[in-house]
Amino acid sequence: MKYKSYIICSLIAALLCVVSIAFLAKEITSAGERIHSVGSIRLVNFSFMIGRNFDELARALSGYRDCRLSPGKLPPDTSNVEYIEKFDIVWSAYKSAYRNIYKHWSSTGYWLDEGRATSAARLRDSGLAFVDEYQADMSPNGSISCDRINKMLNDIFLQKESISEFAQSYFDLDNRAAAEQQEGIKKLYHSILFLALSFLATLFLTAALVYKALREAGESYHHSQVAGQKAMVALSELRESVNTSVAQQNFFAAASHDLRQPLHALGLYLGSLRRHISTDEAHHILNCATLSTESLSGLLDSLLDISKLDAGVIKSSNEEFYVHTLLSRIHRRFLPEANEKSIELVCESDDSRVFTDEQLLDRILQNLVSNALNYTEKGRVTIASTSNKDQVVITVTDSGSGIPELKQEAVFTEFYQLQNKERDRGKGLGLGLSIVRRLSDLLEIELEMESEEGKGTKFSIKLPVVKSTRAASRDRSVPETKIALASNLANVKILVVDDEEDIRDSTVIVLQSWNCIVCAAEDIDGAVKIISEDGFSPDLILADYRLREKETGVQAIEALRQVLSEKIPAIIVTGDTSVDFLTRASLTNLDVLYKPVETKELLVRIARMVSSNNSSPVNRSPTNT
Amino acid sequence: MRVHFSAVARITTTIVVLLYSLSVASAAELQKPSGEVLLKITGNINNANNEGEAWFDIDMLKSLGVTDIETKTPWTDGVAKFSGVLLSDLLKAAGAGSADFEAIALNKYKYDFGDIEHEKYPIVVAWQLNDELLTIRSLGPLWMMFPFSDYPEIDNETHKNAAVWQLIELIVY
Repeated sequence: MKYKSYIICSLIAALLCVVSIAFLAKEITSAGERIHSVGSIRLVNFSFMIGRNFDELARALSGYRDCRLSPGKLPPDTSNVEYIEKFDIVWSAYKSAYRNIYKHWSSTGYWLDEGRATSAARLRDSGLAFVDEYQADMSPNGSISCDRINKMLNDIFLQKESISEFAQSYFDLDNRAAAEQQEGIKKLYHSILFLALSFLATLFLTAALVYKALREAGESYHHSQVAGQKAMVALSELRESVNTSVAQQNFFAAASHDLRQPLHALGLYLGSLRRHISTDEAHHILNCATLSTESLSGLLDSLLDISKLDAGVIKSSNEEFYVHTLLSRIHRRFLPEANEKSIELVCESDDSRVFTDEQLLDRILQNLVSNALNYTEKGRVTIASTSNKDQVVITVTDSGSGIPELKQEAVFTEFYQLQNKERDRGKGLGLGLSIVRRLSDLLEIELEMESEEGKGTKFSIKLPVVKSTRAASRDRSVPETKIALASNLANVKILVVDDEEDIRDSTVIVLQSWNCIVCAAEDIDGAVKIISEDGFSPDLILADYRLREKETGVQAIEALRQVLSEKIPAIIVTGDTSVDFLTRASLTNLDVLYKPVETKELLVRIARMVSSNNSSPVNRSPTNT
Repeated sequence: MRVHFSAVARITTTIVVLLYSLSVASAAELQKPSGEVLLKITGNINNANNEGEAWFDIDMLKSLGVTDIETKTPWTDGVAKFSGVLLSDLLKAAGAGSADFEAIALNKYKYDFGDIEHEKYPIVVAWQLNDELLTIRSLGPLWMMFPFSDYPEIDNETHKNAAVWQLIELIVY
C-alpha cells in the first residue's frame, strides 16, 4: 500500500473517531435528559404511596365500622386511634408533603407536559378537599357514624380511582422512559464500540504508516550508503586513472627527452659533416641521413606537441591577419613534397582576414596538408579559403583514398593511422589529427570533416570573419632573405652550458662553423669561472635545462646574468617536455628550444635574438618542422 | 486544640478514650422505654431492650444528646431547624453490627441506606421542627433529616428520598 492510501485510511478512521465521539457526546446529553425525566417516576411512586395510605385508612375505617356493628369485639376507644392515625398520614401527605413536593417538582420541570401537570394538580386539590371535609370527623373524643364511614369509604374509592388513573399514565411513561433508557444505553454501547474500533483502526494505520516510513527511511539510508560506497570506489578509480594518465604523460616527457639527446647530437654532427665531404655519393648519403633525422625529429615533435597540449601550457594569442599570407606560406612549404609525389597542390585564397592565433592555425593546416599529401597517391590537394559575411572557411581537400564512414571518428584519436599496417614511421605516428582536434578545441574554432571512401577527404575550418578595415598585423614569418642576413653570426660570443660532453662538443663545433666565439662549461661553477676569471663576456647564453646535481639551465642563466649584472639573451635547450618544466619555462619567460634542434633553427633563433637583443620572447610555439 | 500534650500523653489519652468508648458501646445495657415507643431498631444489633429489638421513647432519644440542623428542604418553607439525635449515636446506642440498614416509615415506605455514605454526614433523627414537636400530620413523630444546605453534594434526589418521614423502624443488616 502506498503512503497516500495509508494517510487517507487513517484520516478516515480519525474522522470516524471524531464522529463517534460527537455521537457519544450527544447520546450522553440525551441520556442525562432522560434520567432527569425519571423525576416523574418518583411522582408516580409518591402517588402509589398515597394510594396505599388511603387503603390503610379504608381498612381502619372498615374495621371500626365492623366493631360498631358487632360490639364487644374491640373496645371503641382503641379502634378510633387507628383510623385517626391513618387519616393523619393521609392528611400529612396532602397538607405537609404533597403541597411542597408539588411546588418543588413543578419548579424543577419534572412535569413532562401541561396535561399531566393539570391532572396532578387536580388530584392534589381533590385530596385536599377530602381531608378538609372529613377532618371534623377525626376528633379523638368523638366517634364517627356508620353512614359517615360509608360515605368516606366511597370517597376513598373515588380518590383511589383517580390516583390509579393518574399513576397509570405515568406508569406508561415510566415504561417508555425505561425503554428509551435501554435504547439509549444500547446506542451508547454501540457508539463506544464504534469509537473503540475506529480508534484502534486509527492507531493501527498510524502505526503501520510510521513503520512503513521508518522502514523506507532505513532502506533509503541503506541505498545512500551503497551509493556513497560506489561513489568512493568510482572516485578512487578515477584518482587511479588520473594517476595513470599523469604517469603516461611523465613517461612521454622522459621518453622524448632521452630520444632527443642523441638525435640532437646527430643533427649537429650531420650539419657540420657537410663541410667535410666532397663526393656526390657522400652528399647523397648525407642528405638521406639528414632526411631520416628530420623525419625522426618530426615524429618527436608530434609527441611533444601532444604532450604540451595536454599539459595546457600552450595558450593562444589571437591577432588579426590575412588568411592568404598563411595559406601561401603553407603552399610554399609543401610544394616540394607534392612535386615529388606528382600531386598537384593548389592554393586558392581570398583576401579575408581572421582573428585567431596564427602560429597554432599554421600548425593545424600543416598537419592537415601533410596528412592529405600522405594519403593521396595521385590527383590534387587543394588549400582554399572562402568567406561570406559571417565567417571564413578554410578547406583542405584531397582526392585521396578517403576515410570509411565507420572510421571517421576514430581518425581523431591518438596513434590512429589508416592504411599503415606495416607501421611505416615515415608516415608519422598518427598523431596529426589528434593534434588538430586539440588545437581547434584550444582555439575554439569549428572543425568539420567530410569524407567518402575512394573519392577523398575535405577538412573545413570555420573562423569568424574580421570586418574592420584596419590593417592586418605584420607578417610574422621571417623572410628567407632576413635569415640569410642574420646568419652572419661572426664574432658573436656565445657561452654554452651543457653537462653532456657529446652535446657540448657538437654544439661548439656547429657554432664555431658559423664563426662564433664559443666557450663551453659543464656546470654553473665552470660557466661563472669562465666569465669571472677568463674575462669572457658572452653576447648569448645557450644552456641545457638539465645539468648535474639537480642544477638547471635556468639557474645557470640567472647566476651568469647576476655575475655580468646584465640581462643578456639566453636560450634554454632541453629534451625535457615534462609538464613541470614546461610550466616553469613559461613562467621564467626564457626562450626555449626543444631537442633535437636542427642547425637551421638554432641559427635562426640565435640570429633573431642577437639582432633584436631581446632576451624575453614568450615561448609558446609548437616546434616548427 | 491549643494545649500541647506530649506524644506519650496524647497516645495514652487516645487509648483511654478508645477503651472507654468500647466499654460503653459493648457493655451499656439499654434501658427499657417508659413512655410511648417512637422508634424500633431491629436486626443485627448488640444492645436490645425488648426481645432482641432496641425500643426508644422520646426520653431515651433525648438522653443520647440533642443536635440541631438548619437546612432548606423541599417540604418546608425557608430554612427549617430540625432537632434530634445523631443517626450515628443512635446506631451506636443500639450496638448496630453494620452500617447497612433500612429505614421504614409509618405508611410502609422503605429506604435502603446501604448505598448512602451516612457516616460522613451529621444526619439527625429529628423529633422537633422549628422547636415544635413533630406529629404524624407534620410528618413526624420522627423524621430522618440531612444537612442539605451545609453539604451541597448531598442536596439531590437520592438523599431527599432517603429523608424518610414518619420514621418508625430501622432494620440493621
